[in-house]
Amino acid sequence: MWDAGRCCAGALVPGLSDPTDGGVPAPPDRSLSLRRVVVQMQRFGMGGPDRLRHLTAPFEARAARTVAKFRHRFHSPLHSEWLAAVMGIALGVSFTVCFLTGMVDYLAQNPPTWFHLPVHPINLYRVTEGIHVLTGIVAIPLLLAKLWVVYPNLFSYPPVHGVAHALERLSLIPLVGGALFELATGVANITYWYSPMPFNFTTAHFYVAWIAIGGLIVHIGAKLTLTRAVVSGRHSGEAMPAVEATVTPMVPAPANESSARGLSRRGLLATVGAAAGVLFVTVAGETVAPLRRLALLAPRNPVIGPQSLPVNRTAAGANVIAEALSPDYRLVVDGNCRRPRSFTLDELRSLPQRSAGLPISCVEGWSAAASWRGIPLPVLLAIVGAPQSSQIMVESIESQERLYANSIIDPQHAADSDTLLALELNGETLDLDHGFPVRLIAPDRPGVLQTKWIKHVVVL
Amino acid sequence: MSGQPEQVTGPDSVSSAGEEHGPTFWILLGVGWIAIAIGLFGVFDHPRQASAFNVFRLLVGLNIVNDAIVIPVLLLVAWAVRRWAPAWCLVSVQVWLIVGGIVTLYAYPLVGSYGKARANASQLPFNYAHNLLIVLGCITVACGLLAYRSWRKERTRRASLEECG
Repeated sequence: MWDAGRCCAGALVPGLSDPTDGGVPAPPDRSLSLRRVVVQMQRFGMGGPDRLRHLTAPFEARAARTVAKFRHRFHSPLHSEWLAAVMGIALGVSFTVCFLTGMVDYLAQNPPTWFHLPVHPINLYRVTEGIHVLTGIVAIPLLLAKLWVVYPNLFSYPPVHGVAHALERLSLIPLVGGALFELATGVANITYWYSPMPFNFTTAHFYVAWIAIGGLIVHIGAKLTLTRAVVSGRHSGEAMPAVEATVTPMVPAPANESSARGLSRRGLLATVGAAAGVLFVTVAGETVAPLRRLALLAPRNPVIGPQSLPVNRTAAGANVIAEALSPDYRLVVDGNCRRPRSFTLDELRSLPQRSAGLPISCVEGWSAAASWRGIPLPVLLAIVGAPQSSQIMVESIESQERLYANSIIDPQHAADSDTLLALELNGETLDLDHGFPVRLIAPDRPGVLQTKWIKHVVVL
Repeated sequence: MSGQPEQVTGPDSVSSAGEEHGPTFWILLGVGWIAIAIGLFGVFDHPRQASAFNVFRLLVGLNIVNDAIVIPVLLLVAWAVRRWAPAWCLVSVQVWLIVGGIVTLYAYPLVGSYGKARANASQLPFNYAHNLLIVLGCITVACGLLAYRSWRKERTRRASLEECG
């Protein structure tokens, strides 16, 4: 289902049954070929029809014969519609899952006014992000194998035959390019390799996902019939009975050809599955705790980092060390409240505290649960006399010009007692890299919105 | 499948059956191109975050690199393997190349440590070249076992043929 216009099997021009190509029969002529252009030109009186036809026919014939001979060389049984359809189903499912989870994650990270993730279950964002990244990684072998399987169908003559086919083939550019773009930039992002991406990753990844999924939808429309036949068992990898009369053998293998040697179609499927399995097992441990010991190729280990928890932005990288360690540090709470005030670190430690086991979940796909202790945000808001259902903004010591130096907390999260201004992590005072003296930790928020080194809380 | 002409049904034939370009196709075509338009609009509407030129250069470039370089090279490798690998280990070599190649491709930016931040020990914390060798070693062992099984089968088959005279 993934290979629409690439699968223009047997699109040869009538009357070109070259003896060297095995006498391949030709389908009805529905081309937008040169000959049709000639006819159009005749209507507009742009030339003698016979002369033009005489001039273009040899080129057209030659092109068709060349393409036919080239396609004839792909006689491996692995270049089959059955395999393409089965892989297409798997890719369609994985890309749909990736797209939907990606939408949730993007909206969670860049929340519009109408969207916010629920506070509970606390692992919702962790699960959607983990599924998004792991599904994308598993899709790598599927996509590469699929593109290899359908490669011969890239070559057909005439290249398009009708408006519908033209639109369908055109949609392959956004589909294939978009799919490769999404997987390539996704891998680059989880490995922190930003130099090949001269753009903001999240914005480009989000909008190109729309382009890719649009191409996929068009492709599903074009391949629905074939895919149904495969699913229902009517298509065994050979001719599809429902359309057998019109089937054009694309690549008749010579009788003495050793195409039986090597991988079979099911063997290739199993191999691609094995590659996906190896990637899953060696990466998933960065978010799936039981697989941690096998995570040899994971960009993160959830227990490596200060206080046994990874860090994305360090205090040195954020240039906040001096201010965070300053004895003059104060947490200022103001805005739309009756008793705005500031707190020293000792005053904060003397306020009511609460412990919560909450995960840090990053857009790169890693996540880790930890034990946090700090002041529940509702308690702090009650102290300063903030109205119920207030929206809150927290600002970091970091320069406010930096991305994610502040974040908005929606009223549901602000009212939840698991939303903490944390002072401790895993029973110890927060490490500087984890946001000392005070950081935000709340359920179901992307890691970049768990603002560190907080100096200012604004009631909006 | 073996030795038989490969029959492939393509869009032409499906079209001939009068099913491919029915209402469902046109509806999905419309929905798909609306989604593509949303994506295009989004890219052009965020010039500061996502330079359209840079985004489309990578998008189209990956398309071209895949079709013009990667797959032709893979086809050449596949042809060479089929030509020179002994029959009893051909499948094992193919499996090793596919699985090992894909894992290596994924691990390339990790092994190169292009995203490694010196001041952050928790980012890319492993020796990925070492780990990749371990993974490739496991794949090699699995493929070796597969080849050994094929070799024994082949030997048994030959022995029985010789016994039969």
